[in-house]
Amino acid sequence: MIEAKQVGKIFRTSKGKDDVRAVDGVSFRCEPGRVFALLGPNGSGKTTLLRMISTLMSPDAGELKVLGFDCVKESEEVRKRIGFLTGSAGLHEKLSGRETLEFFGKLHGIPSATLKKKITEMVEEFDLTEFIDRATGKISMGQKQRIMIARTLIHDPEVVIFDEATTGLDVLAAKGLIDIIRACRDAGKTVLFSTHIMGEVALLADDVTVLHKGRQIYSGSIEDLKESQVGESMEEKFINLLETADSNLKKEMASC
Amino acid sequence: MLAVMWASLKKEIREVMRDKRTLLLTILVPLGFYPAMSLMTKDLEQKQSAKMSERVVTIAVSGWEDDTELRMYNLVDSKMAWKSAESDQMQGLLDSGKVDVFLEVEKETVEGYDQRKVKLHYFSTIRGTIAYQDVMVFLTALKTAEVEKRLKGKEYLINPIEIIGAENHLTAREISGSKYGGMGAYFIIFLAFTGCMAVAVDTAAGEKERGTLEAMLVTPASFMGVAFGKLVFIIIMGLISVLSTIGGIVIMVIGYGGDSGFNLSQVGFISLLGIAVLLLALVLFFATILFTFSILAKSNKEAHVRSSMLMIVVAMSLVYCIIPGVELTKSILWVPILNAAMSIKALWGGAMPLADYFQVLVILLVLSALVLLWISRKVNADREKVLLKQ
Repeated sequence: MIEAKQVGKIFRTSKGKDDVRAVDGVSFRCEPGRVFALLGPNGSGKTTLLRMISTLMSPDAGELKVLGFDCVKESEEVRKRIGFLTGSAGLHEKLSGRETLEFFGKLHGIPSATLKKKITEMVEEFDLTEFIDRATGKISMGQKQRIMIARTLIHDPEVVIFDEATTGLDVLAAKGLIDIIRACRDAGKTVLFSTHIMGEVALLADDVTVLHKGRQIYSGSIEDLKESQVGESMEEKFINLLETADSNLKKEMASC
Repeated sequence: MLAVMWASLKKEIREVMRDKRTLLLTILVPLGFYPAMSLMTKDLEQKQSAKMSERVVTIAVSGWEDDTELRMYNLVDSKMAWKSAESDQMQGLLDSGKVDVFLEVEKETVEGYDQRKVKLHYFSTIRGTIAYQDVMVFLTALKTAEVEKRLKGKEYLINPIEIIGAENHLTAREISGSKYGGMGAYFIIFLAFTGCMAVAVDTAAGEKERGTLEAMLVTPASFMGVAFGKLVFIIIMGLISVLSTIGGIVIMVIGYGGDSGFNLSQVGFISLLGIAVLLLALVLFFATILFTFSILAKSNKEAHVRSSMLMIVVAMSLVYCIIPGVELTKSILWVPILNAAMSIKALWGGAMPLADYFQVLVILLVLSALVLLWISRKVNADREKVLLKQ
């Protein structure tokens, strides 16, 4: 389970006047066995929020907990229990897939014998046999993505976070990832994924929070979102939501 | 084709003109390198020659019972100081540095006229060689004056002063040290730096840029654990570079067929061990500095530029150790990198005081520890800014 209460993050500049409120008072709750989507256009604060959950960044305000562990005070306990896959993360290109999994397994403190067994299982589960012993710099984008997913799940985390993980993938590779997200949900894991693609949300999410300019402009079930917004397609509903948020923000600014 | 080429060239120029660091490295640094080097070496040369001109050559003489002529000469040229000594004092006086040249004189009388056979003893260091040359000039002048005096008096003409030889009292090791020590230290240290640099940039800034560091940071492993692993790796690569350089020197010596005058066995086990420990400390210093530079860089390119600038600083400071006459002074002991280079040179020649050696070692270790402490504090205080790709 992930709990966020009034979480805020400001990127400060040396002069102070250009400070950016990347995340502003965001609250939500992700339950185990459900897929939670974080939806928002580029620069809405999704990655910053996920980086705070994965303890890479610290919030300036509010409270963030993963499985009851505080993301700031008990960051190591949080990291033991999460798997974080981000579109910007790369692979050590001189290492093979197997060596990559071995290395990350060691960083997670998995004993050698267990790790070997786990890698064998993952090779089968994610269909990595063909390229597991090839340098990751010499395999295709889709194959790399599968290695990265295996790397994320090597320690069997209870909470899995995917940050724009389908970016750059072809249709088949993206579908493979979507299947994995579903499998994680079915295994009772807490799944949180961020995207700016409305179609993915409609396909996968049970719950959704929409971020825009760091603010939370919607939080609820995907069904409620479909019903509450005007528009023929999901994309139209999403754009409608953003435009409403923008006009509200303008009114707010004018009243100040 | 030409239009595309021109557009491409224009775009590259536009980009580079906005990249201050690249401009600094490719234009300003090369532009300033030689003038700066020439200013530094000129200043050093001036100081050296001023020191030499002020210096008094001390000469000890044995067997010249009445050295009035010598002392008279001393009156007109204050650069020379004379002292009487016995032959058995020779080695002690030369070793202590109290005497630059020792003259061993044997007097013979032929037809009632004195003839002196002179043998010179000296160390072929820069200082010793200059002193030796000064004494040779003096003896030739003295001999000419004596010959002229005898010719005028129509006296029996016999060679009044005959130089029967000159003996260099430096050991083969000391000669090797003064001949190869500076150059050897220069290349070993410079290549140790480039060895560390080759991997430090990629292992820190490269991992940050590729996003692999971020993947490691979301594991329970501590960053300091990961960082120390990387640091040890950089040190190993620096040491491999050192060993390869030494291997290259050995190949060069074999190539000369042993005629190069270079023999590593002359240096001795203890001194070699001392050099090895010093190199280890120096590689640790390089590794911490380069790792810090790289991890603080926002991109791989920035890390490369920073390291290249540091490489230029290292190369410039190392030039001092190959300039003839520059010795390990108390002030040089405090200059990191140069102090190690001068110490290696001194160890090579067998003239390194133990206290100075430990001072250099401690300075390098303390500086490395301080850099490590600083970067670990910086990471703890601003983890996001330092470790994450912005």
